[in-house]
Amino acid sequence: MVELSAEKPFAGMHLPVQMGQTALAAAQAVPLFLIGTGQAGLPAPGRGDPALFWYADNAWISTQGPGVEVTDMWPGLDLTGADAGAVMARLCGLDVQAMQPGQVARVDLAHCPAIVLPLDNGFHIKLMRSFRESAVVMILAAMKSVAAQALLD
Amino acid sequence: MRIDCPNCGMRDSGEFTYLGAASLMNRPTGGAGFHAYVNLRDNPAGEHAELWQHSAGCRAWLRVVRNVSSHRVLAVELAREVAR
Amino acid sequence: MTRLARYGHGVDTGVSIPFTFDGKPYCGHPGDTLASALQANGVRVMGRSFKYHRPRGVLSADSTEPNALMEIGTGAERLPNTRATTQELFEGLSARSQNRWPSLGWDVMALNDMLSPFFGAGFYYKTFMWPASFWEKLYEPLIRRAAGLGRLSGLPDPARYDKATAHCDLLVIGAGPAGLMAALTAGRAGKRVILAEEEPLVGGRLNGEAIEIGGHSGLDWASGIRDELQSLPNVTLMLRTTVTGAYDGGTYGALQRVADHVPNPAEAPRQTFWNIVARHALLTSGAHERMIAFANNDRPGVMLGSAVRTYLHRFGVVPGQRVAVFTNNNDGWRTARDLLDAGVTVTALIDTRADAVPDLDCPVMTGAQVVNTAGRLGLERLTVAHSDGSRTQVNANVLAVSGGWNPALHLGSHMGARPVWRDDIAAFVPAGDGVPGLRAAGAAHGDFSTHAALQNGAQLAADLFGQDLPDIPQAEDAPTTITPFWHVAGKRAWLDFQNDVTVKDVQLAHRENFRSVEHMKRYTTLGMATDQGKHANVPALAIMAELTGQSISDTGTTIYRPPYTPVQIGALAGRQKGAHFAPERRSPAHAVALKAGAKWVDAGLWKRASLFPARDEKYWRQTCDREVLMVRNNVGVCDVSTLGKIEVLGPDALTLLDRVYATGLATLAQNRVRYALMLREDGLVMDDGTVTRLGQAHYLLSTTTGAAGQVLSHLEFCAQCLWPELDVQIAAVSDQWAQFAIAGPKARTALEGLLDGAVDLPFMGYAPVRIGGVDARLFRISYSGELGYELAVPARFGAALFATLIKRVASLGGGAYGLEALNVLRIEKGFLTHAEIDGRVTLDDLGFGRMGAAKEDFIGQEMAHRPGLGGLQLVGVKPAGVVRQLTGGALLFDLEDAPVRENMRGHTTSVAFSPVLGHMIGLALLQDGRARIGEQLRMVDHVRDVTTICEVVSPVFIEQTGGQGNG
Repeated sequence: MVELSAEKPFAGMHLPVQMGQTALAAAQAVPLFLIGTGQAGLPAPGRGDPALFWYADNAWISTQGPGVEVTDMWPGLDLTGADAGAVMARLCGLDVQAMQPGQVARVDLAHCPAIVLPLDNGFHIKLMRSFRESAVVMILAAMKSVAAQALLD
Repeated sequence: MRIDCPNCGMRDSGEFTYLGAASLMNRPTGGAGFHAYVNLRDNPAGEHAELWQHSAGCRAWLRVVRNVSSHRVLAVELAREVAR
Repeated sequence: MTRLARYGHGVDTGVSIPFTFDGKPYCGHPGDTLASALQANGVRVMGRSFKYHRPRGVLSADSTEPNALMEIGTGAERLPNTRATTQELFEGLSARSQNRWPSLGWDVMALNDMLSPFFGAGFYYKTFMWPASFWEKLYEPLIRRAAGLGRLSGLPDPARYDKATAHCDLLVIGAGPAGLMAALTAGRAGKRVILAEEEPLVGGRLNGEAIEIGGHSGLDWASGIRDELQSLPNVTLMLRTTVTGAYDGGTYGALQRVADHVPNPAEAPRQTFWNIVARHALLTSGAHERMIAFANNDRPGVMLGSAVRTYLHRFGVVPGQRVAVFTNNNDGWRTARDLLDAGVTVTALIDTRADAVPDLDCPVMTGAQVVNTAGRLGLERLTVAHSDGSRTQVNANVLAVSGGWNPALHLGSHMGARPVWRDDIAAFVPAGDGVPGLRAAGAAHGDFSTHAALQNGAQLAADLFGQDLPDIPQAEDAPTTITPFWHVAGKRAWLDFQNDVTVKDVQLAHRENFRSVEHMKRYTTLGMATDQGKHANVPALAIMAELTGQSISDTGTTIYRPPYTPVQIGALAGRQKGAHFAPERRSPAHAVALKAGAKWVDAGLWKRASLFPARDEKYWRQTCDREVLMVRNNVGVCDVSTLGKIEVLGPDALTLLDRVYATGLATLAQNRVRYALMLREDGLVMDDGTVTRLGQAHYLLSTTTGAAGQVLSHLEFCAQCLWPELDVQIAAVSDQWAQFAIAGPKARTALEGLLDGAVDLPFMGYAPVRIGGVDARLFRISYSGELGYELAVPARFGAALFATLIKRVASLGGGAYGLEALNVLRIEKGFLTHAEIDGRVTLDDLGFGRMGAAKEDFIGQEMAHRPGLGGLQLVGVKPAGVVRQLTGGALLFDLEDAPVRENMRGHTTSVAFSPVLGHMIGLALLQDGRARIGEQLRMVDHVRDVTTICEVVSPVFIEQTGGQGNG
């Protein structure tokens, strides 16, 4: 019988990495399912947490099935640290300062489709899989830039 | 220009894709009217009802009333709510 | 070089910074600008003017500077047209003056000044016409060489730039007294405040004056406010940041100079361009002082009075030992008083107003005007005319001119509103609601006293946020006392220093009937240089008003546009350059293909493997031909993960799909796949793909790679805007699955043993399968015409599956194949891509005329049968004569017709060399194509210069292939 090995989405990208006051690490892989209505307690638009969050009109993503599997489509990263907000400011147009855990935002991150969920100390970012290399390059560049600017002052 | 998506809040217009006049929601049910539906448009230098999709966000289609001269957005609704 | 003791609060005289100017070494101090350091070193001539190459010195002490433009840096980092007044000095800075040869002191092109009668405004509209042949060979090259000021390096810019977004409750533009009070008021109220300041220090005008606030020096007051603001976590102070534009929606562009003042920025970006989203904004940008135009008012040493005061107070420099003052308002007296307090000789205070009574201890001339200046390469003396007609010579090497103040209102007019003229202050002020959410305060609003600035800034912020007014410290509240005075009669009276435009040029424009300000601007080029006429516009329109007899208010200003000061293109590009211009999309098998030596091609944002050259293959056709024959005779594997995949579920899934596709889908049984075409509402074909029925009410669509996004948006439009009553779920899953085509006579053999279970699928069948326990999807479909399957696994297994498949097919004598071979294979079978589906073809054109005939209604049905629509039918073409080459996009003509546009009968869409047939083949769209099979045509490619006699054939070049046979 053939055995297919599973690839870790951020393998070979030298994560986790710390630069200045920010850290970037691959998030723990969890199964993800796209679910429609027909369940109680589904979050309102723009609300949720990494286990269950609003995704689109009448669509949510949950770590519990049944639903259309999208596990591989949205690999996750955690961007944490005191300067996480400054890094995000260079990657997307969200008002990250005003975002709180319990919210979710779909947005372009460095022109790559992403889902952003604030954490207590930073952001959980899901990236559309085929864009992930480009997105990580841009996230690391922003981290480097913010860290380098802190040294200038 | 910024558009207030009912689902996602105020976002830059670059997150949205423009389709055309909101009249595109009123698809005719029969032969007559398709020429006007597909080809004919008013072109006011002022308030205009139009369809935008929040393509970089929640993928919702929105009916937006906008002043095309000043870019001032006057109203934004989910197209799904209007279409019913 | 000495600085005045007790002056120069902005520089640290204890530290010495070496720099060079035009190759000569000099020294300055931390806190200096290039302009202040040069003046401290006695350098007066800083450039040569644009047209006439007249020697010019620095006029101002801020970003409005028109004259002292320098090239900073060397090599790839060289930046032209940098204002010496804003360039902060740093160790090793290398600066060069511009627009002069061989040197600043002796410029050959100063000849232009002697020929000035021939070079007036608009001279090029009246010259360079004869002889006509001289234009291209002589005149244009000469003009090009003479044009421009600084030189670009021509090398790629090595600097990094960031782009970023910030959000706030209040954006305060300018950190002078008004801005500081506003930021403090809103900041103490807990609001999110961004205070943007163009200079590297707060204080605005306070830095250039001896103004007291609350009984202390204005500087100490400003430092105290700054310290408090920096202690508030909700306030962001952005120094070295110019707000460059006001846009709709409360958005502002701002350029932050992160490292322009740092010799070695390492990994830091040079600049950051910000998009600031502000609920409210306050324009506290101060005002710019005006020049007065008089003969030879451009001699080095003639400066703005406020600039002389700034160089004195902030930099401790007076650029001459004998200073005269020329003014039309009380503000000019400040210059004389401050200089006298510093022990500098003031040789005359010349006031245009006969009734002025300045109480100063220097020679005073009232009701007088400066009518000329003299001195080689710098001011030495001036001529003053008195009201009684007599003239006096005044000895001076600096002339401080004060012509009044222009509020810096530009941002308030960026959305098209015109500013408003106020006679009482002889100045324009911002239009009230020019930019929704933006208000002005302080000098920017025409309220020039320090008290007014403090009061208004605090009041506006307090009103915006419902706060009590804070304590306003005591400060001077002098009224504005000015009598407008724009120019003295005489020649070579300069208005626009940077573009070399005089009062005479404006008079010429008026004589030649270019009287509206917009015409005057373009005819004279006044206001069109890099300073955008910050000092020239108002005096020029005032003079035009005099000439036309209209009021200044009716004459109006030209339109204001962003950016307020020049912005490098690199800053607007940010990180999006070179390889990072757009993101790259990679298939799950990308690394495996890379390791297998793939050559790559761009398909939109995707990277796709086009060829897998063997070690001995040198030319792409060798590889392509081999891969095609490998699939036809053996087996090959190709990565098709990039194609769009969309799942549609729900009770109304079939209803939606049947309305969206032209193809009938009601009879599609579970576990079957159908080729399907989708139309636009205007009846033309939009995309092709497949529909697979995975379950009772569960379908999987495939789209072309290029149209995946368009099809998804279209489905969402139908479900949300047209038929929201349908109970249906649309899920885009392109990136969820890796998918590979396995094609060729040995395809089934290749799969045997790979799957947990037997491979037994009818043509156009589907089955859920497993590989080593992993859930996978198997389709029996073929784009090559051979026995073919597509196998999909969740993306995390894609790399492993592709590697396994390549090994398996290799053991059977096959291998991986890329897009080039894929394309040849499908052309041999007459299958379609967007080369044929180009947005202009109908179903009938493509040979699917009967599709959807039995259906009730689907998108495009009504308009698909309009008379005259389409008519170019899909056919095949092959070479029939001596020339064997076919090209794509070539035009087809009847043999007896001349190959001109009117005789076009169609065009080739896709061409390839068929290694199976041994010649080139092509697909084409041809008028009445199907009826012309067997006829000969002429193919002409006018671009590549190829002409080929062709025969029209069926688009299916190879009939017998194994695709539909027993698998």
